[in-house]
Amino acid sequence: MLFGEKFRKKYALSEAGEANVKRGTLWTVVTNLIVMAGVGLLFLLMQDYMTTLTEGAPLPQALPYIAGVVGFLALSFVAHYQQYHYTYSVVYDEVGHARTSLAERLRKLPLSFFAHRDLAELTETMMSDVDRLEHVWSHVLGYLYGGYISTAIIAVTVLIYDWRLALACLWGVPVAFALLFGSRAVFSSYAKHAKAAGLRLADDIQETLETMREIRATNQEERFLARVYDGIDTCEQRMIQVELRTGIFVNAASVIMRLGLATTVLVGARLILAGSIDFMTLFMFLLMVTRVYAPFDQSLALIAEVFISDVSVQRLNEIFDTPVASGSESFAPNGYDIEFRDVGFGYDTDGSDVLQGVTFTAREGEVTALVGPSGSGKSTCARLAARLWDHSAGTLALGGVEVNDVDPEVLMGAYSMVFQDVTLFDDTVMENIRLGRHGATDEEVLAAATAANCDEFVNALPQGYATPIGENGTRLSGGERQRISIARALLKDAPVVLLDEATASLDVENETKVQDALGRLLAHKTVVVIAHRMRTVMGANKVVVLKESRVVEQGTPEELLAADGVFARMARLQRKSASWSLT
Amino acid sequence: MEKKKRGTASQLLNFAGAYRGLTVAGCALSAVAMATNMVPYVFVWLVVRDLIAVAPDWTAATNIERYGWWALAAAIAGIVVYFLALMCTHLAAFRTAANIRKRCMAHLAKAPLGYFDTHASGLLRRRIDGAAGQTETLLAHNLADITGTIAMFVALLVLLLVFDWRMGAACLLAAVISIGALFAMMGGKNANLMAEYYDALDRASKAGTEYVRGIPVVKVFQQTVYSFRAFKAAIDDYSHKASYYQGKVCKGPQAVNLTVTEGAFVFLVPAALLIAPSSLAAGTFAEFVTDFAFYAIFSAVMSTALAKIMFAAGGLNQAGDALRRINEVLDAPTLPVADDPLSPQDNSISFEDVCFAYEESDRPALDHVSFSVEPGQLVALVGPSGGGKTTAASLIPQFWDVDTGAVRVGGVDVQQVDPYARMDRVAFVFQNTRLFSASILDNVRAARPDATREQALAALHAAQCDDILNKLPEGVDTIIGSAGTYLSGGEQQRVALARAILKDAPIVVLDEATAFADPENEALIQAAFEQLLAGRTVVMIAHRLSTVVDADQIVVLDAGHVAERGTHAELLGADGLYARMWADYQRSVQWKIEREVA
Repeated sequence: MLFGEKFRKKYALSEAGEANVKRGTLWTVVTNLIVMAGVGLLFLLMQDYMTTLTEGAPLPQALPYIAGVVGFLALSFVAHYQQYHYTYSVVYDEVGHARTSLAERLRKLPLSFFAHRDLAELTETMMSDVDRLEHVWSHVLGYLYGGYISTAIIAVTVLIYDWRLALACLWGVPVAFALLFGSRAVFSSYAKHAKAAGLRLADDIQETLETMREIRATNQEERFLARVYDGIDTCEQRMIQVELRTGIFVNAASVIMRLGLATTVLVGARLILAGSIDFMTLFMFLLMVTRVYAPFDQSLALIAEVFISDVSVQRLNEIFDTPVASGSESFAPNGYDIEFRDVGFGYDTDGSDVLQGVTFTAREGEVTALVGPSGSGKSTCARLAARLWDHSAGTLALGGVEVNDVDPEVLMGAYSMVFQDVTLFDDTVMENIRLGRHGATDEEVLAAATAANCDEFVNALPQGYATPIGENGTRLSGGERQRISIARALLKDAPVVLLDEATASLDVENETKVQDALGRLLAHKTVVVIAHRMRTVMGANKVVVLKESRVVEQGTPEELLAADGVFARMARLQRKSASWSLT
Repeated sequence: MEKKKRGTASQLLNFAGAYRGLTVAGCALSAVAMATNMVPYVFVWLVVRDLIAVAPDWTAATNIERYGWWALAAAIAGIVVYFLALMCTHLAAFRTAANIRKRCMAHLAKAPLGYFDTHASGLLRRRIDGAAGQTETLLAHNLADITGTIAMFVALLVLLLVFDWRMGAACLLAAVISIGALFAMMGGKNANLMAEYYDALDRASKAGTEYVRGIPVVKVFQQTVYSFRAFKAAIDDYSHKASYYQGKVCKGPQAVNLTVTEGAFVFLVPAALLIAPSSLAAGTFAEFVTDFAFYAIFSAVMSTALAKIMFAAGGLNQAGDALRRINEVLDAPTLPVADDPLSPQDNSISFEDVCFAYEESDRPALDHVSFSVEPGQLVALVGPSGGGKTTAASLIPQFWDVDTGAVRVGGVDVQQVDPYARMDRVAFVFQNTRLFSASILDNVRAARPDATREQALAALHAAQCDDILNKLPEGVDTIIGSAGTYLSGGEQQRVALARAILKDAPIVVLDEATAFADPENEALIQAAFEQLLAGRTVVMIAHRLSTVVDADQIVVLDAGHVAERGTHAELLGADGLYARMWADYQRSVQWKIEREVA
């Protein structure tokens, strides 16, 4: 009824977690009922004093009451102990489990998931989302549902006792909840409005910060600042509107319950004066009214938390709903030819094809160069070959095995990649290179580093190879990072090398060194190089020319030059640019 | 600790500007509202007193209905005041958050451009947003909550002690036990456990960050299982410590705490049992019963009050965090503007004994660099990477300020030149140029908004952009950016060059690396360069030595020093660093990917 699959999905709980919530709820009900029973002691004592006052009876015996107090404290303690256990103590298992399964899921996701995201934001949200849920699981759910149930029980009891006073006492509860949930409906449309303004502002601010150079260069600070200020003002206005409308609801919900005491006094007074009830009845309801609302005072703040945590749940569910890239863990390729046959690939966002009907073979032991204008699909081909993304049409095989059928991490064993983006870790140079092969010895690491021409710049660092690189190695230049990437690849010594023209952004000195290192890397392997420079591929065994997502030419460099087609034209242009100088 | 936090909150309030008073008013009203909430209980006491006075003839207590109405009126008044309080604090909070955003942006608009190279825009935006958001919550809710809770507590104490202090004290006993339990939880050896717990939490957080950030790379090296294990170890450690601390160590004290806060009333029973006999003997039994009834009812407030206090205190932690983020942004350096700006006399540029080091670097990027550029000359800066070429070029448009020495344009120190005038005189094209989310036409006209459409189109033509315009649906009116089409790096570069051409500034600072694109774009960009640079004073960062063979002067920068200078012929003849670089370059032009034959 209350619980079940939908409940679990709503709060991102595991089955064990749900069981704990159930028990937490139960014990909350128990503690609340015990407290009401304790209040009963006050009622009984009052009753005794009343008889003393009105009928002159002797004062009540102390002993039974003391026993009652002690018994109450003991029972209450035990119940609260259990309640705490099932709400707080056990939550950490659930949290650990959630974080672990999230981490597990993340590492199985295809790399394309990470490509378009701001990793810093992803981590931040992941951590804070789980924290928020931790709070909801420990604080909120048990208390909230337990509160509902115990109040319901009490409500039924007092309704039977005297329905008029019961109404005067409890009317606030349903009204408050109606207001609260009603406010959500009102809330959403205004909130969407405000949120839209917020997003636009964030975009404006981001653009202003990103293009600050151009803004200053064109002396447009005032215009841009004015635009941003406008956006800030609009946001402020929208927020005020949201607050005016919904704030009333939410705050009304919390204060309306306070009116309960006053209405109880008023209705009770009238009933007493009319002779319908006696003092003890009024007394009982007055005892009730202040206590019945107690669990809810907190609850409203907690409910707000639950609303907010919705977003967190959605984000987590999105990760769990993203399909993993899976495949066989046994991989026995027959040689290392990479064969593209009619391969197609497109991004799902706008449906346009990034690759269409691509067919070529990169043979083992040969260098195959992919050339073409930017955006023609060269990088995509390389990434598909390593199953960084899954191709959607045709077949792509390594050694005769379709790559989409192999577990991505297993497949990776066959590839070394030297791309333009190099991720470095906040660890020493040695460890960053050792990443190439887990468990490689120091000698092996150093040998690879030397072969990649890293010695020259690493030895200039304060602690040589033991120098920590810093977060993402911002202190290293592009050429230095590139050489570390090559060292990793050398250490890994995989049979296929995918190379994105790594030397494009470097100056002369580094270029030679890097090229040197690359030369060592590429012997005897299947090499696929994404090339920008015509001259660098003249030595390749085969050239594949891509244009607008298709293969337009392929063959040896000599063949293509003779054919005087796209490739020939590009070569001519390159020669002209290479010798370009200002007169 | 409390005082320090109050200080932080008031610092944040400084951003409230004119609305500061509203916050104060809101807090005051909140206090009044909370105190007013206690008033109905006074009427409860009155009702009980009247009824007991006439016991058991209840219908004789005719005044009680009036008390009921008063109680209702007080409750409603409390609610109305509470709303007003919240309105005040919210209005003030929103305004403060807006002001914070504006202040930060205005400040950043004056930061040296180099600052934006080292501080990612996403990070800055998050800092600003985070600070504004936290301040909002703090000022809208927490402050009012705290003042309200304090007021409530004071009112509570008054009511507890005014009717019968003995029974009142009995109710307070719960608070005392509660505090004792909490101290037991946090003090002594448990303090260490708590610290360990927070440490483990911190470590798990950091491990999570590294894990996620590294997945793309680690996956490639098939080691996700190891990084996963490392992360899992951190998670497990946290879970164990948390489970132990929160779960075991805190369980007993918390159970005690909860028991007495929810059951605060129960201490009334023994107190009453003690007092009853003496009051019966003294003839004040009716008063006693009245008071007992009152405290029985009122003790419930005790529980709510205690819970509220703990809740409210937590909010103050945010203040320090918010302030920290704001200060991170406001700590950005700003370029000072000269009081009496001077005008450059001509288009010459000179570096005079310039020294400059980046913020976090121990070695200088430029070390006593001097060279000069005559108007109309083309000077090329060459040298190994990290040698200082880009740094030197960046100083001309004042991306940074020199540490010592001076950079002069037209004989005037750039720091003395009016920034707007300087930007008009110097056009610069560096790597990673960005275009605005506007039409191509507007992008090209950005530096000269009053240029005509024809002039803009002419500039685009000169910058070899015709093919771009032809392939776009609306040609020059096509909007670029998040709402519309995207241009490739090479295409963006050419539009940026068109902008520079239209700007028609007499001095151009150019990073030639912009031409590193595919062959098609490269040729076009080079042609665009020719258009841009004709007849101007040019400082160019060159990466390919073939481009500067005909430069009027070549300055070779190595590790921040001027190693050599002269024309191409002179430098080759000098047989120094430049000559070596030239030889290297010639070799690399020949390079192709070769394989060793077995």
